[in-house]
Formats: sequence, C-alpha cells, structure tokens
Amino acid sequence: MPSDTHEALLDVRDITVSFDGFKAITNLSLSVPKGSLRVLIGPNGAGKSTLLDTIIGKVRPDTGEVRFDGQVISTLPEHRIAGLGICRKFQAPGVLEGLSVRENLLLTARRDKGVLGILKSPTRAEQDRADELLHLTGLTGRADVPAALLAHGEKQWLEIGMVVAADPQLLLLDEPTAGMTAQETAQTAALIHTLAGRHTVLVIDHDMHFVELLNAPITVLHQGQVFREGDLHTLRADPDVMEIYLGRPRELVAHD
Amino acid sequence: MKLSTSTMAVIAVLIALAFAPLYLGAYPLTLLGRVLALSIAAVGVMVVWGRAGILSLGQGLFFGLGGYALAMHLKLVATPRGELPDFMLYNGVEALPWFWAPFASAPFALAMVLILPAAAAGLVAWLMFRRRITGVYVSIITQALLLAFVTWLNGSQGLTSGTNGVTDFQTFLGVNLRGPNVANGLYWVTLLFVALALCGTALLLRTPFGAILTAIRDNENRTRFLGFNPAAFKIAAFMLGGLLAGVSGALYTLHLGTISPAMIGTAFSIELVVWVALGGRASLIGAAAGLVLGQLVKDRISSAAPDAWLYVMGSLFVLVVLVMPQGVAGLLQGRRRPAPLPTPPSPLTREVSDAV
Repeated sequence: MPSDTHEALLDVRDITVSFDGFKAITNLSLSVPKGSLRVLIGPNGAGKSTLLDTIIGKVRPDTGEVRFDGQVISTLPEHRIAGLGICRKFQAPGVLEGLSVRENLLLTARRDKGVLGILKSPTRAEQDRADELLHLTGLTGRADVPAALLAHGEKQWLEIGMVVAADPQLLLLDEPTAGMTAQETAQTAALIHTLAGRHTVLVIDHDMHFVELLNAPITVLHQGQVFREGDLHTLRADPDVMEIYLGRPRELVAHD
Repeated sequence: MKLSTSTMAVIAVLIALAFAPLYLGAYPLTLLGRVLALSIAAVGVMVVWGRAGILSLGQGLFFGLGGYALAMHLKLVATPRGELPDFMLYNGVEALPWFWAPFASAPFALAMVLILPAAAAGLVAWLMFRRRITGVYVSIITQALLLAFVTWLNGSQGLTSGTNGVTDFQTFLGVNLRGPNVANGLYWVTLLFVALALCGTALLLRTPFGAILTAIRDNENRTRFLGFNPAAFKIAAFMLGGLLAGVSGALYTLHLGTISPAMIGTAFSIELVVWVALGGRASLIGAAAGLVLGQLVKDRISSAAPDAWLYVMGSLFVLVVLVMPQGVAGLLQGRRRPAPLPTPPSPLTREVSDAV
C-alpha cells in the first residue's frame, strides 16, 4: 500500500478511456478526500458519466488506474467494487420495481450478499438500518408500497437510500435531482448534506440552483479532462469556464 | 400462522388429489399421476424463467438425465445377474460400460437422479452466466445442448438403447412394478414429491433469495452495482430448475415404464414452457396447474382428434403471448391487485436504458 494516497479516499490517476477510438476521458486525475462532498459539473459529453462508469468498473480504463483507500480497483469485477464500499445512483432511477420500498432497502442493507448468506433472515441490525433509511429518505409512510407505484421524486430518494443502505464509504450520485420540482430539489440537497461526513459523496448535476445549495468544492470537466477546480463563486467569475458553457451561459449566471 | 386464501385453496386441492385413488378409475388415475410428475419440471421452469428471467428451451436435458439415471438402475435390476441388458447384447456390446456399473446400486442411482441433473445444470449455467450470456442466446444454447444430448442418445445404441429407449423394467427397491396396488402407491409418491417441490420452492422464493432473483430479472445490471453477483444467483436458480426437472424425469420414467430420446426432446422442452406460460410463469401454482390442465386437455383432444392437437397448442401459445403475458394466474391476480407485475424490459430497451 503506498502511503502518499492515505488522505484521499478516491484517487483517479491519469486515466484514459476510449470507445472505438473516441477518447471520452483523456489523462484525467482526480482525488477526493475522505468524508468530503464534491460536485462534478461540465457540459454534455465532458465525460462525467464515463468517469463514474470507470470508478464502478462498468468501463475499464485504457491507461491509468483508479485507487480506493489505497487499493487499485480498476481491475476488480463490479460486485467486488461495490462490496468494497462504492455505490452509485444512476441517472434514471433503478429501484427494484417488483419489491416494496422496505424490501428494496432491506435487500441492499444486507451485509452478506452471497447466495447462501442471503438465505438467512435479516439480522436485527439490518432491519434497524432499513427503518433508519426509511426515516432518512422520508419514506416511512410508504414502506410497504411497491416501488413501481412511487412518484418520480420518491423513486430518486429510495434509490439514494438503497445506495446508502450498505453504508458505503463512497457515494456516487448521478444527477439525483433530474426531473424534480424545486421543493424536491431542496429536500434532496438537505438529504445529501446529512450524508456527507459519514460518507464521501461525489455528485454530478446540471442544475446550478442545486449545485449552489450543495455549497461544496466543484470540479469542472471539459472534453474528458479536469478543466478547473474551485468554489461556485470563483468559477462564475472565470471567463474560460463561462466560455465552455457558452451553449447555455444562463445555467451558470442564474441565481447570482 | 395466517394462511392466505390461495394457500388454503392449494392445500384443499392437494388433499382432494390425495384421495383421488378412491374416486378415479384406473386410466384417469394413471394419467393424473403422470401429469403430476411432469408438473415438478414445470415448477422448475417457473423458478428459472418466471423468477430469474432465464428462458431455457433445454429442460429436457435435465429431465432426461434424471430419467435415464433411474432407468439404468431399473434395467440392471431387471437383468439376470452376470448378464448384460438385452439391448447391449443385440448391439454386440461385450462388457458392461464403466458408467453403467455403479447404477446397480439403488442408493447410488437415487443420488444420481438428484446430482446428475443439478450438476449438469450448474455447469451449463456457470459457462453461460459467467460470460454474461443472456436472453435469446441462452434459449439457443440450451436448445442446442439438448439436441446434442438427444443425438448422442440416439446414436449410441449399444450404450443407451438408442431410439428405442430403456424399457422392460421389473422391480424397484424390491417392489414388483407390475404388481397390484402399485399404481396407487406410485401416485401417492408422486403427489408427495409435488407437494414437497411446491412447498420447498414457495418457501425458498419467500426468502430474500427470491427477491434477488426478481431483481435480477427486472434489472440485472443494477443488482450487480448494488453488490450482488447475478451470475451466482442465476446459477443457483438454474441448478434448482435442473434438479426439479431431474426428479420429474425419474418419476415420469417410473410411470411410463420406459424412457426414450423422443420423450425428452425439443417438442417436450418447448411444450413445458408453453404450459408454464399459459398457467402463469410468475406464479408457482399457475405454472404447475397450467401444466397439469394443459396435459389433461392434450390427452382428451389428441385421443379425439390427433391431428387437431398441434393447432390447439399453437393457438393457445399465441393467445398467451398476445393477450395475457402473465398467464391465467396473471389474469386472476390482476383482478385483485391494481399493480401488475412489471414485465421485464426487452433486451433492446434494457441496452438503451443502460446506455443512458
């Protein structure tokens, strides 16, 4: 174990990812300290989702490596990466629709996720954890409703609950507020604030109002590389950042 | 313990079936016993297809392994000590093949009825699901493996009796298979296995294991990123399906007094799936009842008008696909519950949704 990375929980080192010759990510490095909240923004095609795909093992980097808690993970199978404590909420809600809200949370709260382990009934601790998550996500009243019947915003919260359930060290949230009302967005920002600290959280979002509410350090991606890092105030004053957002400059200047 | 109405209905039906020898004639009872034996394989299809979303068109392979494992024992028992089974003599085989010898032992043969199909299913599943083969490719591979097995059985006359199949059994565990009252005993044993298969599977699917299978069927990738290894769960489900098919095959062999490649081939494997689809692949009882009723109707129609049967079966299948994808059980359930079971997305939409 190298000692130079012990500060960073997630350490992406000089990765390049290409699809059929098109480089989605070029020599990107990013390091996220333990317990911090980080926001990732960038125009469409900047490589944000590809970066998350690479971290969870859905996509393998051509060069470079991803380290988690000092360990190289970019060669491990997906469920092993998840087992180490990295969970991702995808852009489209992916709750298990055939199961109730509680079942969804209970299943992901299980410690032993092997075929034989799952046959045991859930422990008291795992059930308590599910109750805690119901409370955390504000879904206590909807515990026994099939997930298929939830409203869009509720599905997003349930899925956040599911990725939190296994108590992962690193949470990756891909556009958690997509399709939400302003009020739901504010609730989601509050939820994420309660998660940060206990977990390290990396959020991708387009909604500048939401990014402002998160009030966290921002990394701007552009053309598969880290373009700038800083807080929202500094970035808004940066003409180069404004330039890459030229297609829709209002996103950055709104709410000023 | 509180029992749901459907559970109580199932218990009532099982009790009614247990007394069937009292009120059914000899032929209907034999027919019912045979069909009940097949319904165990249908329970397996329900687990594999209905819950785990794996459409196997080769269940006949595991059914056949179970059936042949028992048939080999019965054949050796029926052969005078020191002699070779009749078909081997006709084919000029001079010594008992090595893989036949241990089947002279009843405990070994009975163990093999369980182990062979489960192990074969496990191996096939491991090869497929480790490489993440899904959807229609699984159907093609399982069908191809079945065809290879049937071709080998047909081609190896001296080892397997070829197209004639293994037949002419005399006794099993000391019981004369042609004796009086054997029909009733065999019927009850079959019913016992049906009840065991239904209860065991129902209990298993009620554990989180069942929930994960549903999760994998609905969204395999998501399950993977939640920290579960879908391959392991699919292999386990496929092994259970193979095991149930094997038990079913062994019982069926006892009922018919023979097993041959024609009984386990493509037509059989597809018909199995059709009945499960008709009854309701998401419902344990639907799958078993669909097969039992389907086979009983088949017996009626094919004895009245043999040519009509294929058309009836084809039309039923089209009807199920177009009108009631969750089968009869789905229709009944839909009336009670507003939320229908989500139909798994087609491979195409799944790929699209994974891409975004």
